[in-house]
Amino acid sequence: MTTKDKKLFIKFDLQKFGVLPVLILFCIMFALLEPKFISVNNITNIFRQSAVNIIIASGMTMVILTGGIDLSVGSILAVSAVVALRVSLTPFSYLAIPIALLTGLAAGLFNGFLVSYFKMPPFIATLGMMTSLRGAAYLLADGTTVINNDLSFAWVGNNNIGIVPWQVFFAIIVIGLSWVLLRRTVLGTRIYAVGGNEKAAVFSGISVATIILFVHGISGLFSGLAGVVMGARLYSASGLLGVSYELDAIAAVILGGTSFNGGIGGVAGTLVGALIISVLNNGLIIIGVPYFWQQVIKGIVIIVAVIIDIYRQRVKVK
Amino acid sequence: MGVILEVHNVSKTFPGCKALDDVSIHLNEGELLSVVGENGAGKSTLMKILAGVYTSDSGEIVLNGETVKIKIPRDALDLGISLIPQELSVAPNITVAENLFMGREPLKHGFFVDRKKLMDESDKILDMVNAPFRARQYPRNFSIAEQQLMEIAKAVGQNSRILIMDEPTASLSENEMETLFRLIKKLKQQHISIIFISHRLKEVVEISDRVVVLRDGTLVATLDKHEINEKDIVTHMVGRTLSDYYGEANTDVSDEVIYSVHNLADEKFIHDVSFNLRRGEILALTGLVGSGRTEIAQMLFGIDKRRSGDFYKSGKRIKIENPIDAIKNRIGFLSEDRKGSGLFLDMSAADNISFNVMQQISNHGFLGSDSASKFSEQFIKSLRIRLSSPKVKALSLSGGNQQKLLLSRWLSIKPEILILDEPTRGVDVGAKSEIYKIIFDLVADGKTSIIFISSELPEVIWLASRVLIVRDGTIVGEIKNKNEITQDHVMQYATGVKDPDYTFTENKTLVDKENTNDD
Ligand SMILES: Nc1ncnc2c1ncn2[C@@H]1O[C@H](COP(=O)(O)OP(=O)(O)OP(=O)(O)O)[C@@H](O)[C@H]1O
Ligand SMILES: [Mg+2]
Repeated sequence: MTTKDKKLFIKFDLQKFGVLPVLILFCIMFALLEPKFISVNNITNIFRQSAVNIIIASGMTMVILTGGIDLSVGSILAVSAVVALRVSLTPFSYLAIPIALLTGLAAGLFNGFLVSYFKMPPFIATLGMMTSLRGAAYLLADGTTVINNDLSFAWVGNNNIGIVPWQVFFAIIVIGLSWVLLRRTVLGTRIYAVGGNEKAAVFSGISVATIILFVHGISGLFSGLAGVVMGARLYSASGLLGVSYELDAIAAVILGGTSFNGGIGGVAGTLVGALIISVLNNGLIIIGVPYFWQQVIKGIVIIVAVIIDIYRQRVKVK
Repeated sequence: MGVILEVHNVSKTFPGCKALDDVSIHLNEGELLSVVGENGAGKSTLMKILAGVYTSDSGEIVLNGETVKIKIPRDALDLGISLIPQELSVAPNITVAENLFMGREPLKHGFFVDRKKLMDESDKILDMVNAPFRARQYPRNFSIAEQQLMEIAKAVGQNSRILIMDEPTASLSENEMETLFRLIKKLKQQHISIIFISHRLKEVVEISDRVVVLRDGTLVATLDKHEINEKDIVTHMVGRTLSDYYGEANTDVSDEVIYSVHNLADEKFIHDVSFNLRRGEILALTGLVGSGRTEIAQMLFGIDKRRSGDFYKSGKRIKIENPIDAIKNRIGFLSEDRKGSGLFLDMSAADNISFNVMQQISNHGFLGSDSASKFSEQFIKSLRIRLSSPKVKALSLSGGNQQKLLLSRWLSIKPEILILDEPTRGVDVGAKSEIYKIIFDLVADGKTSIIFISSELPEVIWLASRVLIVRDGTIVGEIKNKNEITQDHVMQYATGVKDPDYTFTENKTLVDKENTNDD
């Protein structure tokens, strides 16, 4: 290998790791500024804080891979959480989780139906659903907070298996399943195909509507799961839950290198993207940056990271 | 006639692939230099370096005796070098004039676009290239030939001295090609130099002043005018003599009608299309570009909406409302538009090849990390697809190799009826003969019957066991005997010199029953 080849080789591999170097850089930086940052306790905290976003962003990744978007995830989360809490207060409390998940799934499928059947732009369809479901969540909670101090599924948000909190465990499962689905199944290949070249997918006999329905369904289901986690953690739920969570999810997906146009990317990147956001949230607080500055810095980091990524992709083909 | 452009020792490496290795060529003023080579030899890469799309790793470009740096496409244009790329990019939503002057619109008061000047200048340029369209038109429904002409007009308008055409004839019909060659002659008289890339060696021999041959990224031969002949070019290209590079046509076709189309029509253009396809037959659907061939083919596959039309397979009526129905009935369709409706550019070559059989090669829907690659191997080998690994993105393959990916995709479903629209577009001679062999093999045992469209008449004559000629949206003629299929005969029908005399004899044993599931 000549030095020239080597340089190319390194560049090529960096490409594969996406924004992982950025995550590592931030971790080192915060650790140097405040040693408390790398305590076991804090690291567990970071993971716990990112779990909900990781779960939502996994579904979001699939929707964005088909060239769509799902703005309704935060509202679906709220509805599912309220439903879970309501059911938990009935004699059928053991049905709380399944019913909440089904609620999320149904809402997602309805999104998919609007997009694939009425050919609505996903942005508009899910924007409408975002608003309606937000209202529905308030209505289901009678405009207040549904509380259950004796919550049957509280373990989801509060217990550990070993040292791993259950919600982190769920997030890992969701990421793992999504990765397998996208990279190791026929269906996953078709998701990439629909986002990469819809017309070609049609010409190859793919039912695009089915794929769209599926990814929205998954996104809804995962949002439902996130709702269960949130409700469990808080022993309560209200129409206020998950407001603007769609933005963090989208940011994680895009930070992770998934193309907004669809067809390129994956959940491995999304995981890193979600962790970057959590590390920033956590680190900036720990080193004592004022709240408003945290917002400013977070926004700038997202923009810069994406610029770097675009630039790196361009360098590769030149 | 001096040397206008020199390229010294240019090399270019992509990740995992050395595309150009120490290549030097030169170009004289007012000459037509053809660059030929197998798919993936490095032709397009070299041209893209001249046009500033790629930058070379090493080497030097000398223009009119001065060393120049071409870093971005703008640099090349400023130096008078225009590239008409293999894959055209015309903006359909703005006028022809705006396309021609994109990025350098004439201004009024230093800010507003001077519409009148824009239109007048554009029309002047369009006249220069004898364009059949005007500045104010939108290039929405332009044929490939018209889009190309627009690109040429753009180059002429920018006073380019060097015009690079990457496979301009790949999707042109005979007539359009003649027109293009006349225009090229005219440009040469204005001392414009042209670099021309093509896999149709006959035309290369016909119009070139000089030919350079690339193989595996290196320059292997330069042929002067008197040395140019098809056989030598091929020998240099593939590095060995290709004696019989075509294969054997199957002449005895059974009488059994496997597929029958009745009264096909769409809302505006296609009308009264009826024909039979016999088992093991290679039926050519030919005609001028724009005659309706592609529309008919797409309707057969359930893509274009039809107003009327029935399909019968082995006597049974089948329903084809969309490609899913078609594929269920074991019908395959290779589209002529490989970028637009064929390839998944960001997916791997292996995934592109195995896309239509993924369910079959999977384990209940699950794929191993190498399932697609393993499955693709046979095709990569037999079609000589040049790639560093089956896992590279389709995007990084050369044009001809991309075509081979798509062809493999449809061959892999082992269809009973295979519709091929321009199957060898942009494919090199060696691979072409491979593709012909594969087509002959497919029909030999009668398991597959083929309907194919090609603008290349020699290909039609070589492959077809029967020809249907399409004009103005309907079938106007039929040539039943292999030995009567000649260029003349086909063109007489296609251009309307010979009056339509096609009659369709219905197959008597048709069962009028909806039957959507096969076997
Ligand atoms: N962007 C890219 N990234 C990686 N490899 C590339 C890229 N572009 C081209 N290559 C590789 O470089 C080689 C030369 O490609 P090129 O497009 O120049 O071939 P070509 O001679 O024009 O072939 P064709 O006749 O099929 O158009 C091929 O092996 C191709 O796979
Ligand atoms: Mg090329």
